[in-house]
Amino acid sequence: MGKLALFLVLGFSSMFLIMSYNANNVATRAIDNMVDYHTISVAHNIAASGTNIAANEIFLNNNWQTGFSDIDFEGGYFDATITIIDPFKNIRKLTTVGHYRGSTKKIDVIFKPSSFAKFAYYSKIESGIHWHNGDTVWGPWHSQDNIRVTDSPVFFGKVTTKKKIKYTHGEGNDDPKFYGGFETGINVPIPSTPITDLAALAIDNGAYMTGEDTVYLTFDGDSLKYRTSYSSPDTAYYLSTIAPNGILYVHNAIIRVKGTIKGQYTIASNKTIYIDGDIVYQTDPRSNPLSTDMFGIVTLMDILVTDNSANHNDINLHASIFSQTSGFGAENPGGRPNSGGLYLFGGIQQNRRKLVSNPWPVHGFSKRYKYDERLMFASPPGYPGTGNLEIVSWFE
Amino acid sequence: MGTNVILDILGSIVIFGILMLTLFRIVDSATANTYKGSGDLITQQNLASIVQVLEYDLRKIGYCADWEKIPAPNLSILLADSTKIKFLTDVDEDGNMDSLFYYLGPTSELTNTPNPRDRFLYRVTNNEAPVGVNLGVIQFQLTYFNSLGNQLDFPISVPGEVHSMEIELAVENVDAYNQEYSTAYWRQIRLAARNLRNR
Repeated sequence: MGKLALFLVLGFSSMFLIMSYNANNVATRAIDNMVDYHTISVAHNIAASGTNIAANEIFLNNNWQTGFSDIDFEGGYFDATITIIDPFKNIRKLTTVGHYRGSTKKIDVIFKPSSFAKFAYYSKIESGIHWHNGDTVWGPWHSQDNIRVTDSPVFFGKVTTKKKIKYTHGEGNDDPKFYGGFETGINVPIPSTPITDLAALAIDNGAYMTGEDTVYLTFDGDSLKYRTSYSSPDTAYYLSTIAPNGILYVHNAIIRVKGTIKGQYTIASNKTIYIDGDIVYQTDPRSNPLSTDMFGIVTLMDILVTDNSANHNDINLHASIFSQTSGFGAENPGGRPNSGGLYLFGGIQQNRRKLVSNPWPVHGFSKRYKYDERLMFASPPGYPGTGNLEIVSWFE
Repeated sequence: MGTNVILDILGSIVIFGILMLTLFRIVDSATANTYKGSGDLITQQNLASIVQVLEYDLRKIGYCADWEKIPAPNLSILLADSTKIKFLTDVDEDGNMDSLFYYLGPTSELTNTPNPRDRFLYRVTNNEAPVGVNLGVIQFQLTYFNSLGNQLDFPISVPGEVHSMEIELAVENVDAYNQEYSTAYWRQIRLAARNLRNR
């Protein structure tokens, strides 16, 4: 009887031991599982925080290459290094590694210089103009001013502003559609030197013209027809010969331009540029995505669609347009006849908005603007940059 | 003497019976606890596995190793619904754009499992044939927010409006002792794929 009792006690004890072991084992593995996930998550969060801290340094100083090493953060630490992966294009990669209790997580971020060409629409001064129901903008759009919205305008690209949104009927009633994202507090000022920078590039390896009052430029595929008075005959040049880097700068003279673009070119001036007729790409990227034709128009002053007979029945303009101190508009917007549609394929960046009609449809153009998606990652030669780097890829 | 023997035998039988009943109860309880504990563990492990894959994929919305191939990453979400999402990404990081489609299958696909609520969570790359793996997912719920932080109503006609999302995931074990299924639940309050905000 005594032996039996002993066996019973030993048997039950063994059973309870095995059960306890199993239960503890399951509990331990469950905790391990939770701890593993937590550790990986924290390592990732440390890496993300380190990336943000390093990115901030880069935004403050584009040439920052110091990086970080063993920076304590939230119980772990992170390292950050910057490598220049394309010195010519100034493409930089920030690699941040977060460490936490044996787990590591890496985040790679690629930066490239930001060009004004990427903006479908940019203006420093909105002149109080509202975006209304029915207004639709494609491509990235930035304003240094308040964005005034009435009802429900639609923005398909990312919208940024230095200031904020002003709602006509109150925030709950107006309903702007930001289909590409929206951010406030983004400061992208117009730089002070884009015209002189382009002049220097033109002197270096482009075409630099001076000493004339007016210059008439007609692009004709790979050639440029050039004259300096309305009635004088054109002289033709191969563009690749006179402007190997694609930049044509006219100093202290009005430019009157039209034609067909083949290749990548930028014309620039410190005076007004008039669009005398259609400016179109020889290969339209909308019908052939492999087209490399790209055109930039850059000036210190106005860019105006000339009030002439050629422009009284629609105008096609394939270009990215930049005005440093003024804007893009129509010449004589309140006096010219109804001129049909202004079919712009590209983008407009300007100091202030200018009129293309006054009022429509009695005078001027109706706006038919379409963004050239290629400008998201490419720009005409020497086109003004914002002076900042922008994130183009984030891998985590 | 004879009476005492009978009483001893009867007493032994009663004590033995009590011991056996106790033993059976213990075995039953041990079995139930083992199933429950293992079920909890498996459910939790399944949840952690799914979550890690989900987080990895969703954080890569709009990413491409060759960044010039995705000029407008903010338009990378192709379809956004309450239980499905399709987006552009670079699954194998080879510099080519891929589409990745997550969606929740119906419960009718898994009638052969004892759990009546489990479903396939599909992960389909490009135009590959959907292959479901049963990890006991019973809920995969997506809620979307625009760049102003407002919740988007379904159906979402312009997926580019999505700026961030909330993800809810619940997992149960596919079989359980006495049909007492273990449940593990995970929610990401705001997942903002960073590439959606580029440019």
